[in-house]
Amino acid sequence: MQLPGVISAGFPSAAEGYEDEPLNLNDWIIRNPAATFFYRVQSEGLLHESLRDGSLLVVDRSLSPRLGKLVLIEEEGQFVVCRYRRDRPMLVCGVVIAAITRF
Amino acid sequence: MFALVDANSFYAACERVFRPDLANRPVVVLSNNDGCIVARSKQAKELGIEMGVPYFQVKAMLQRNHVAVFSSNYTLYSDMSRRTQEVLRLFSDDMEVYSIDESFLHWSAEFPWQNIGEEILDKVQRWTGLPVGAGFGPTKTLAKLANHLAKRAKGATGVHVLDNAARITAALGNTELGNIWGISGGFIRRLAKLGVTTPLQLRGANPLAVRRAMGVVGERIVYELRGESCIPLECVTPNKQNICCSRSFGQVTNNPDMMREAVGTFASQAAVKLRRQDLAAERLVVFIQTDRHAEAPQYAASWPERFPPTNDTRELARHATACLQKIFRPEYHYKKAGVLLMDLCRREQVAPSLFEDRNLEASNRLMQLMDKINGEHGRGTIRLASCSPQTLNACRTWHLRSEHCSPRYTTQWDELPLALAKHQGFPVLPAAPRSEH
Repeated sequence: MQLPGVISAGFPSAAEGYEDEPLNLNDWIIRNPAATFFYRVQSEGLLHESLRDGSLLVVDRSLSPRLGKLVLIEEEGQFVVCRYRRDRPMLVCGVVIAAITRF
Repeated sequence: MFALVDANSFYAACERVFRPDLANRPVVVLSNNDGCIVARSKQAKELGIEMGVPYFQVKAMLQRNHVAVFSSNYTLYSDMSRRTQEVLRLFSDDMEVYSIDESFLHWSAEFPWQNIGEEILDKVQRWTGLPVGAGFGPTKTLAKLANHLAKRAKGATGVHVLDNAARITAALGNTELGNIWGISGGFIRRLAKLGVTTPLQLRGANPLAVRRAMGVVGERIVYELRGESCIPLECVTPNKQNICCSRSFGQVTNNPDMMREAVGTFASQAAVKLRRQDLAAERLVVFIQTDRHAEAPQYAASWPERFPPTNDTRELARHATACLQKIFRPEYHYKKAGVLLMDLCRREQVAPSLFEDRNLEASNRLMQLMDKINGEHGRGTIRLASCSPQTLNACRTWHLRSEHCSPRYTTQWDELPLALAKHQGFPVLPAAPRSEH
């Protein structure tokens, strides 16, 4: 028979009951996990301060594209990120809901 | 009402979601170790490629026809399966995941089923990129049949509803007995003796007579075909009856050390699976066999061993090596080996016996620690010494062969699919909106 270990019984913390979960970036960005996929941007030049080669694209396939919004499309057998337009046919895979770049 | 929703050519479809260039090309997926063909896209089926044929037999033909060949990427398939299940759960909480690409749904109220079916197809396709089919029926057996018809009937749209007597009768009248869920070759022979050769005859058969010939399983099928549901949803996946870890080797071997290492590793892998489900095993079987396709002397053998229930990697590996010792014959070259754990029970049921010197508590702690470290630092970080003789590190011939494996697109940061951003015509992004939320 093994004896139970030491039982510690100090003063309760004043913060008890006030703890929050740590912030989770997923919660802030992703609304529909089942339909959300990540892609890696591949580009030759700098597109924008926060969208460049190697940036992470968060794509939600469940959303409908709106004019001028960033979308992921299929073009000539490749995934391409561009703005949604109606003046030419586009095979839209999903809407880009965030681009994440590590500096 | 029940529905069976399943994905069309699931493995091949998963590969395609991340390869737009394959939209119109035939795709096949190979089994573990690139052995046989286990999945074919529609175009691949049209080429006449059969399910289950050994890869090496059709390799040249696949090349000639520009068929895209993939090793099975179970990491990707299980993530896509999880996403599909999440979408389906929006339609009903009453759901049974029947296999990696099939789920049963159940509703107690009445809905316009054709519309529900079309909505399911549309939503799963849009959200996950996977095409699915849906069959509706008053029992699981009829839903399964409806699902079959949703794909194969003339003018099939992917949705088939069996919601009234006339439709059910028509469906049963157009189907072979072998297409009914649960009817295997053995049952067909036994039913023929009763004079039952069609699904309609089976539905009209005397349930008691069927029960005498085929047991309660057969009797249930009769009632299910009549629209009386007697196979309920299994919402909680039942505990596995046994766990198997086996592989074909990259090259054949007759080296006893290498065989010991392989069998020890399979036992370790099986032990991890066992612990993950909080189970313990009482029986273990080791099997080995030579290459069935090679023109060399053939040999296959297995050896069982019984022991007090355990899930300790060390004990299981010890039993496995002991079994191997009984059947290993150095004059043969082996292509495959495996370890099967049987007679599984809940871990809590493992009581220390009076005459045993095992320290269960210590064993549990060690195994938990081992699983934790391997979970954090990768499989095999901590393993038994017998599973990694230094001499063999150079020639690990038994490792899984998967020459055509696609990236784990959805679960690894460094294997994500690429999206091209063409510099020209890409307007600068607008300033971020000032406030959000």
